[in-house]
Amino acid sequence: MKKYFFILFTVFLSSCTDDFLDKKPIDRISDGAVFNDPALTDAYIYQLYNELPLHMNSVGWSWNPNGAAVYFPMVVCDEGLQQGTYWEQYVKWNKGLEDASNTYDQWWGYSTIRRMNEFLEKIGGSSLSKTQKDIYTAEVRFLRAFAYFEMVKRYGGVPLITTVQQINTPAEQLFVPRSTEKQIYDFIHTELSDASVLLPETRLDIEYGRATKYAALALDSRAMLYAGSIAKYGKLELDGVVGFPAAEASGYFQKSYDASQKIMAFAQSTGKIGLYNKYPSDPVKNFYQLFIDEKNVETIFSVQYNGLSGKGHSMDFWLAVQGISVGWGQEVNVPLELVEAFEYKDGSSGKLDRTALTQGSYSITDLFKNKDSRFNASVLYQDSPWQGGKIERYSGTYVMENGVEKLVTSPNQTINGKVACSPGGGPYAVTGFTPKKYYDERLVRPLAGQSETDFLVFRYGEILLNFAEAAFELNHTPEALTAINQLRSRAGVAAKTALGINDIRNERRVELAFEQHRLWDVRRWRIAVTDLSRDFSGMKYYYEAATGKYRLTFVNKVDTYTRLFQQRHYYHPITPSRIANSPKLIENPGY
Amino acid sequence: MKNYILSEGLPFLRPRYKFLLISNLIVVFLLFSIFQVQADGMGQTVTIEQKNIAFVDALREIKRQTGYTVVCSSEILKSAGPSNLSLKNVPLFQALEALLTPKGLTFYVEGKSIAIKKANSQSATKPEEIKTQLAGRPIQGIVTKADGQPLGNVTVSIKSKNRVTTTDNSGAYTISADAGDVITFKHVGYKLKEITLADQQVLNVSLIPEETSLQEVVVVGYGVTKKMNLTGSVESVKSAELEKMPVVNTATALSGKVPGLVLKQSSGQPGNNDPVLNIRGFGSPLVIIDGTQQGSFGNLDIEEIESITVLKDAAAAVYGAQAGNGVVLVTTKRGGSGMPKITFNSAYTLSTPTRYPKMMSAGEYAELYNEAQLNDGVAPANLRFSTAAIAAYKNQNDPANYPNTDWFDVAARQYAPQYKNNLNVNGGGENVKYFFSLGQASEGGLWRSGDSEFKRYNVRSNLDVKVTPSLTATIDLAGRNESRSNPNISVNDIFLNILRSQPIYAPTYPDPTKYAALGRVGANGLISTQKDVVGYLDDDRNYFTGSFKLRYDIPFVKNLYAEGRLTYFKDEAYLKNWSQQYSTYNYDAANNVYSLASQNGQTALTESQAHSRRMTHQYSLNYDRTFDKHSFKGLLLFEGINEDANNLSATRRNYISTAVQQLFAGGTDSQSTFGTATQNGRASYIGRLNYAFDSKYLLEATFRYDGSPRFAENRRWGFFPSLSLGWNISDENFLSEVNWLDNLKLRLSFSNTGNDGTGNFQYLTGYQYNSTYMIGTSPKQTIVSTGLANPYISWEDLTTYNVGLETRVFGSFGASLDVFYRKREGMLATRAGSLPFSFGAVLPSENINSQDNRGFEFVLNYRRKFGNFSTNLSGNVSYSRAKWIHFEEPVYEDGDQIRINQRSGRYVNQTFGYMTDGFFQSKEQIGNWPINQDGAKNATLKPGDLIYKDLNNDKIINWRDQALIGKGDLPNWYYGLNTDFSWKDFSVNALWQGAAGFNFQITADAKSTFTQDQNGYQYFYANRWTPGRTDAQYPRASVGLPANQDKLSDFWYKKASYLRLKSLMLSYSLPKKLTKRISSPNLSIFVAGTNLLTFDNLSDFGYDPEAPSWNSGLYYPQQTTYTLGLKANL
Repeated sequence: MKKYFFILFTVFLSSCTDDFLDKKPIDRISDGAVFNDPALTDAYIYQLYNELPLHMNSVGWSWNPNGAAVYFPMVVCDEGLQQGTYWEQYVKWNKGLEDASNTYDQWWGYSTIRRMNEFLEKIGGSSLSKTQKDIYTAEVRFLRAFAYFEMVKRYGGVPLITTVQQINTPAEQLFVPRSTEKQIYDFIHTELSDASVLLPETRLDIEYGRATKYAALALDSRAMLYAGSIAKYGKLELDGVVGFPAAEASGYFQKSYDASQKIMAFAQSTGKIGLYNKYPSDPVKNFYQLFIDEKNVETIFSVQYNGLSGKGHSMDFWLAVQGISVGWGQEVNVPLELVEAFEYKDGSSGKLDRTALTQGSYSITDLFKNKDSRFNASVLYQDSPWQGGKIERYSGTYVMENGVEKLVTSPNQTINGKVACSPGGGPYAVTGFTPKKYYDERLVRPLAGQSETDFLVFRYGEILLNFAEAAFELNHTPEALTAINQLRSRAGVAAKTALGINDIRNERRVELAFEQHRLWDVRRWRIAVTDLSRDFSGMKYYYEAATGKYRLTFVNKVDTYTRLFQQRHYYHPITPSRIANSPKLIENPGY
Repeated sequence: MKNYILSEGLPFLRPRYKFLLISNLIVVFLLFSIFQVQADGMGQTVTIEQKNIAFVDALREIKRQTGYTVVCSSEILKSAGPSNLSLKNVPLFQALEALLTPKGLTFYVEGKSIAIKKANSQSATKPEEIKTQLAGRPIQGIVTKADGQPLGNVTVSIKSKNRVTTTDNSGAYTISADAGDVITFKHVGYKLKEITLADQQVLNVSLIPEETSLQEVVVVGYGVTKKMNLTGSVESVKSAELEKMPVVNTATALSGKVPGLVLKQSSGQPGNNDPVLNIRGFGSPLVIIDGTQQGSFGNLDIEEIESITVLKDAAAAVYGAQAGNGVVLVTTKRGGSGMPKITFNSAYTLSTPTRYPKMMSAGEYAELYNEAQLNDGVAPANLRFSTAAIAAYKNQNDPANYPNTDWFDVAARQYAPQYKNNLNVNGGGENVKYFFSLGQASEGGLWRSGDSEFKRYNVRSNLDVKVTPSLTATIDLAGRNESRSNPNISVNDIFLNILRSQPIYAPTYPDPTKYAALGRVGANGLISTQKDVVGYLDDDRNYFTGSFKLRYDIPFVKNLYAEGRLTYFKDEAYLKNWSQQYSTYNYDAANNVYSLASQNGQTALTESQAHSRRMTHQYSLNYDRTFDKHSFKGLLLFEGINEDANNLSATRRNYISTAVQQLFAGGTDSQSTFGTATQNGRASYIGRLNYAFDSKYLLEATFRYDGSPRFAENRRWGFFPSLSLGWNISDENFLSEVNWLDNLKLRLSFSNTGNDGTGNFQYLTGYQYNSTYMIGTSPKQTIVSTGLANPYISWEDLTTYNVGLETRVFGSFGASLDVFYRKREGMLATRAGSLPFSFGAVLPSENINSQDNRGFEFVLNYRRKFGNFSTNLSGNVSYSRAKWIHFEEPVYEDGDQIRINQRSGRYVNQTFGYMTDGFFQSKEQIGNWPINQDGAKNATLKPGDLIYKDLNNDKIINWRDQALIGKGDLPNWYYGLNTDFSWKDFSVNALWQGAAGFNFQITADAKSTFTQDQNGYQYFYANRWTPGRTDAQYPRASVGLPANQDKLSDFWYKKASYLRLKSLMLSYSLPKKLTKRISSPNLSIFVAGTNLLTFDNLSDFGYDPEAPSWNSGLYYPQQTTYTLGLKANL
């Protein structure tokens, strides 16, 4: 009998408590390992890139893995309106209903900034070589400047934190009040000036997508231009927490001018940066390919994608035209006002004579064939050649039935081998125009997250526009003119001989359309209250079975609501929750 | 049978029959006399003259003088004091009276024995009566259990004659009785049986086990106990009760049966319909199956379950750091003894949604769409539908061009089939006892395609083997296979697609291979339900449990035994997710031309494998001993758990053909793989002591010393004590006269437990791999800090107090009331306010929040038998509500923030929102409206929009105007009423179940119309605001949801209280003479249903009150089922 007892006893003893409790998380890397290992240090830095809103889809509303609604920046300004009204937040935004508790497009990037500060503190103690550490440091300082720029353009002055705060940091140091907007822009400038010295001029192919000297200067060029125009056109409020003393304007324009000039000098001397001109004989194709043809000469800094294999976005999914789409798509309609902003090749105004156009019938391609080639490279409309066919978005067909003309609008009827109402038409072609820029023609049925087109954060074209604007504001008009004409010449549009501020702004509007600039440009120029509080119009096409041409009608108001941009919306609210959490913060005016 | 026949007695007491006296509760004390029996001098008179003679000595003397054996309980013997006797040749009876009466004792003589009892006990007998008792003729018989096994120790009595005997081990008894006497057979755990004697001499009786009784044995943590000895709040549901609900998911069968256990079944999807369990509103309880953690129990076969016990208070404390939310103990069946008993169960069920929202018809859709466009300001010329089209959709004269499709009807069938079968065998002999079970269940889904299915196989073998007289081995093996197959679209999306599908499109075309395009959004509710179109998601899971236990009765120490047990639990899952591309078309019926409208999806295959293993070691010493009135039970146990899990998945895309649906056949360009692993463990020392005095005063004390690697080394061990007391008041002497009071018991408990379900390894810092970022040409791994660590992190600390009172009166009525209070401290939260958001890191979680929870459970039952009719009614109601004692939050200074946002000191389930006050009726009204409702001076408002109340009269509607609009979505009142009626071979069981104190939020899709042009709810169409319908129930139509209507308000926050006939079962046991022909001793057939009737507020909308509140309409509806089944003992 006893032997059984011993068996039990032995089993018991053999299972020691420690066996059960000696457990570790087996998916973690220990603290010490990271900064002495270049691979892990890189991995740490890549996470910083990952968290920054380099491309708008890093912020806001994720719809699918990697598929956030990247078209958002187009539909909250005068570049577009969203198809339907189902993204309620955009509608609310456009209606001017955003209030203090707005939660959209917020980027309070202090967790990223903390990681950056932590990196900058810890990299010093690393066993890596000084050169390596210097480059790392410059890279992270560039990224931190980018982070502060993303905040200052949203909120104005924000707390400037450059150290890793500790839990036991005294309250007066912990609760940092908002710096002035000027202090933030000045910080950005200093950081970028320092970083641009240490960063490499170019990166190896395997490091493509990481910061370079010219990425830092490009950010400086853009940020200082913002600062200059806010100083000039904005109001100084809250003791400088938002706005600048007006007198500061030219100083910032000068900084922007200088930064741009450094890039332009490098471009001219080395040719490593410059305007993309691979298809000089076909300016439409050339301008379209600029955004599809990755890592081209015009790229200063871009976000890399490889689609479903790891990192993709959903631009194509959202822009896919109806009839081709996967159910979603054609989410952005381009208002006629932007169509009209594109001039004709001879430099004449793009404005359409609407009254005249409602008479008779037209070949649509003929109608727009003489427009600025950037238009046909950036916008799709009825009969635009696409994927070997053409875009169909007419809303119905006129047929003669027993001598009486009749309009048929059912997609289930075919006339002359053509469906009576195109799948992309009917109620879905609100303005008749959709964006083409960044929409990859090779993707036949794009899926969410499938887009692998790199996003150009900084391209040389913008630098020329930044330069032109800064030069103009500094009264160096001839230099501005030269820069603008470089872009016009590439686009095959007649050169300008004289410049006004509106010419520069319009050039920027058409050159940089759909590139996430416009919503910030109308803010920094302080023209959003007038330019965004208005109705936008659209065009509808009706197929004429007898002639094969289209009749046109115009819709004077394409939104189902009235747009309003209130003065306070030049800045996002700090929000009550952040203020409750840190009472030293003050709210932006008007909220 | 022991005989106590010592000599001939008094003539009138001549022993004629053998008998024995044994009492249930009395320790028998026999006076083994060494006195000689005097053949002649043995008189029937007694002479004792002595002062202060000890009671025992007096009895001895009586025995010496008369030869009678005296039987007396030790209790009496000890408590009876000395006497002054002066008896001279007094007849025995007088002598006994003189000795016993002053002491409140009486006696009872049978044969040559004298039994001494307390005078007030029921069997007190006057000497004169004894004579009459002994009349009658001998009746013999055998008492057996239902299965034919003999039953010893049955008390056989003739009440009217105060005659009593007991059966021996072979179940035999003899008693004298006359025709017309009522003979009563009584045994603990069996129903009392009374038989009126006719003229037979042999009376064989079979006793039926009693369903609920104080003697019932209840499973508790690491052991069993009798219900009467319980000191904690414990509810147990036996298999017979569970089986009354004809469901595949076992957890569902608990609905309404356990006071304090709240169940909410949010989905009716086959294989995915596990209800949310919540004991007393505490949170998710610990589930223990046969002593160890083995995952959830919803998919164990009901037929293999013996009982489910719910431990609510200190009774759970023996599970220590995991027990804070209560414990559910599931115990499987084990072998009995005797011939194999084979049971076969089979049930066939048809299920149909309890209800589902009705969508608009094509005509309604077209009409309302235009109306919505007009409301939104679209010019009449630009409306989507012409008047003629609307008319055509409505009158359906031209269905080819103007279809009218009810997509739900097209995609879903009326009834989905379910069946389940189980065959089990149970039996055993002296040394081996066994239980084998094989079960199979299948649930079909709602779709007409039949492409949604759940299948389950359960096998179990529970063996008990007596290896040697002191060594018993238990080997339990159980396996389960669950397979689920569904279209490769989530249930929510299928419902979304059905909901979105516009009724103005035809579901199919003449060419069935061409799928219909539905306008802009490619969703087609019909093809979403078809695996051969969209692909499939197959899920195959295997669970295995092997448990080996040895019990060794330690020699030298009586009633001490050691047990060692190893339990291995493995869960492995295999998932195959195949998606494929499909196209949709437009169709020109007139010309029979199809045009491609869209291509959807992409061929891709993801396969994944997940494994998790848990090995539980349990070693214990057990002791159970009774000395006189003291009974002790002790347990010391060590438990150690090792667990680990890993998973692996791989994806390939761009298949050139759908012919080979295997990984290797996919494109290599965008393939990806993923895998992770975790490990965990636990070590615990457990002790328990039970002490009972006289079965009246009960005490249980437990401790558990728990170690968990989730926490830092110096914070990982915790000590969890509990103490509970019970008082069986009805056993007290002062209540023994109260005949109507069968039972009255008071329970008090206190326990300290934990909840360590959070905070895994938060005491460590480090870096974790995060997502990837593209640099160069390939995605690069990123790492991210795991955040600030908290080395002090530990489990939640829970203190529970419980007072319980239970009673049974008049043999029929029972009631129990439990009142509890639980304090939950150390809930994880991050400090608010102490750091600004610009700090950039979230503070680590700390054990700082606290809640308390109070409530009660009340049960009332009535059980009675009237001839062939018997009834059992049981109703229960429970309530619980939690309050934040401390909720980490900023110190609010604004009065409205305190009112609306502050949570400390408030009930946990409170929802704030806006208050509505009808609709705007006209533009003038809006124009003159003094309150700025939309922040844009009402410029965005239209007639038919909701009016919000300006609660603070500041002429603007903003967050300050919010008020309390309801509670949360988990009920805090829960009730059930279980009614059983049986008459002869028929029985009816009905279970009513309900809940109150919770709300249902109508959200997005349900409160708007035409978002994405999707179809809308018919109730909205019928009751929307129009200028002509000013007393409307819903706002105006709009394309999409106007911001004004979107606010969380009382308008969309509905009370969801309900009462439903959860189940109804009618069963009939076929008469024996019929069943014998098919050689089945017992065969019963039943019809049953679940969710047959519901009374609630949500029927207008078409939502089930148990539906998830947050995604109105987009869920798999709860099911009403109709079942036909049979149960046979072969």
